[in-house]
Amino acid sequence: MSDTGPQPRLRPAGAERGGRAAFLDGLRQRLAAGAPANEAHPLAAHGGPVPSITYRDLDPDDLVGSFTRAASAQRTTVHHVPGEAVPDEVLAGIVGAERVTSAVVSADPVAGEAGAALARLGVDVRPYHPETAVDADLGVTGARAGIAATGSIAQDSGRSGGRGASLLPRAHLAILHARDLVATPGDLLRGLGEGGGPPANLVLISSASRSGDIEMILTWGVHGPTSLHVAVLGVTAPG
Amino acid sequence: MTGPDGWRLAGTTLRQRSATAIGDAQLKRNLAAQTDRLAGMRVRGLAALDGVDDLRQAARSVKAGLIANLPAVLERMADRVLALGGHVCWAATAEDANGYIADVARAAGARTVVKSKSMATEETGLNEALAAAGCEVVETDLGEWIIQLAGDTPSHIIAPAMHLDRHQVNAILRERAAAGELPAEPEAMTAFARSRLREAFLRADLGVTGANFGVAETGSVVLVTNEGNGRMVTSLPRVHVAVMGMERVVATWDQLDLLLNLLTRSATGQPLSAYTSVVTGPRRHGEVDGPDEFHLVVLDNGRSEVLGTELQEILHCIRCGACLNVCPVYRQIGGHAYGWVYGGPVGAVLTPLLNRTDKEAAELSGASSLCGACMDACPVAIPLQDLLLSLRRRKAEAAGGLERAVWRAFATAWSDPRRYRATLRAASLSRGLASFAPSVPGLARWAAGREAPRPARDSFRRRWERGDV
Repeated sequence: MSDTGPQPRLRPAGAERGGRAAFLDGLRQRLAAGAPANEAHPLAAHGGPVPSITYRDLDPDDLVGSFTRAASAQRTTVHHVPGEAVPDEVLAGIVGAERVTSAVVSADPVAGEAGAALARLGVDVRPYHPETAVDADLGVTGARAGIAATGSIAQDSGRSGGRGASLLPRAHLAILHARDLVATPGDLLRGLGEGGGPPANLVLISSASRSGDIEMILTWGVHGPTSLHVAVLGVTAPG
Repeated sequence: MTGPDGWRLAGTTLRQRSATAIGDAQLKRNLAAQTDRLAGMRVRGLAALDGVDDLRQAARSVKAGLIANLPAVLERMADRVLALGGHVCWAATAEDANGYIADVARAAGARTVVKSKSMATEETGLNEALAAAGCEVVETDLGEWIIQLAGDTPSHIIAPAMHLDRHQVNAILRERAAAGELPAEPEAMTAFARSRLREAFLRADLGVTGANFGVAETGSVVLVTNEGNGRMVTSLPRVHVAVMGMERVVATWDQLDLLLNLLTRSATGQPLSAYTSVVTGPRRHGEVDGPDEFHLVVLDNGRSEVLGTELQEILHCIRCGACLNVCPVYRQIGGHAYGWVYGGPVGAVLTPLLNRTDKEAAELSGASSLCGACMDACPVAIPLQDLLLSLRRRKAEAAGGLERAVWRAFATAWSDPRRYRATLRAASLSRGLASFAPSVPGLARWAAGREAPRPARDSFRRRWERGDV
């Protein structure tokens, strides 16, 4: 997984309001003596390393297979691609299944290639902009990483030139390279403090948009896409 | 107390609110079905991880370390946000937070404000404050929008409309959002909400979110949503304000990894929610969307008063809602009976602490059977029943002289076998506490609603001594 590094900011350091010193001094005074111990349920000493999480369904030797199982369980459609570009027949399948007549593509190079192929299939393809994306049928993006244990893909606003190509259209196609798969969320998250830090917006997408707010019954496509496709490039072994 | 006028705490008692809830058969059906579903999802979600109890205990230690070190962690968070070009407001009170956000709205010329679900802003009554400043405020979480349309308040930390079924939701949408002939099907109602709320996202100038976590190491705010409204609110409006309860900050990304995984599985059983957004300052060069301005509001609003006390651990809460779903009291009375923002065991502890002057809030520690199911479900192993007992102790210490004298006499009598037997004889003669307790001044309130057993004419002990048993 490579990193494009921090993007330059648009403006200098921000301003502060409300008296930091007074706010924090109050906390320090209250914390000075420490809280009374809970004798019924004593607290273990803290300060050791934070344990990693072991996922029972993860096969560390088959990240593509694990990713595919986890993503499919969340109703994501995963397409395995042996080469380095999404073949026309896969794109044509998505165009048919999602009734796609218009698409927006993010700034990821891999998305641009797929966009050109979609245009050859007769789809009205435009570069991503919020205004072009609102009524688009499909958003095409790359993916900075995939997480095998949870079937998630990471979208990086610095790489894709924005946030909305994976959010505003009715369906989303993310193109992920198999070499960018990591095993667990921790493998991605625990590295975010390194280098230049995270981009302005990093989102782990683990399914299409969903809600259970009415009777806990699952509905899809509340604000974001109704369906999510992930094309995994460079899949050599059968997954 | 600060909060929407709809909050039920003021002017009502826990007893009245519980009686209303228990008398509502529809509410009972809705609660039973939905808490069961959520609790089952949690069990299945956690079963996919190894050593969950060890992870919960580790999370408890992590949170304890963070709270003990809170000033330094917050300071680092603020420094990082400022260095990214963001702004920081230290809000000691709800009024400080609301005033700041209203100023930001004014400066941005904001007419429409879109919000993703935030319990912290429910606490501060932000919607009312922004409306008073002339803004149209639109809640965009589906459940929260339904509640807002109904003029109601949320009844569950993660499922605000848990108290409603599809027919009740349908009636609200038809009456309050001119939904026309909308069928009472969740799919159709969701599609209707999508089209309505998308209009609001596109015209909004200001987006307000809460913060599931802050990560001090990089000055990032982490937002967990399923619907994508959190993403909309942080992507489309020109200005983003994140309101973070001050205890929600972690120092490092490894801590975030542990707590995030426990949060989503404990809340809905999902490995991760549909969208985990990591927002790190305003948008940068080369990005065609995202906010030009980012503001972090660090909210105290009574939390610091809990530091250094035996109740400090309530500040470990990561707001997953798991303790609500397993609580035998919540499952009967629902969130509204708790009278304020937070229901269930966590609400019974937090509400009196954040509303210290409200006498009725202190009653909430009674809304528990002390069964301990809440602690077992808590992803950060907060000993909620111990905290509830502490609050009961505080309340007892603050009780009137007569009540204290009665309980002292009771304790003296029942800690000695001879005196214990004497009270039983007296009780059997009077045929039950129930017959006299209501007439004793100071005990009437305690006795109302309680059914004391009618003692037998002869105690078991005497029958044993006589050889009758």
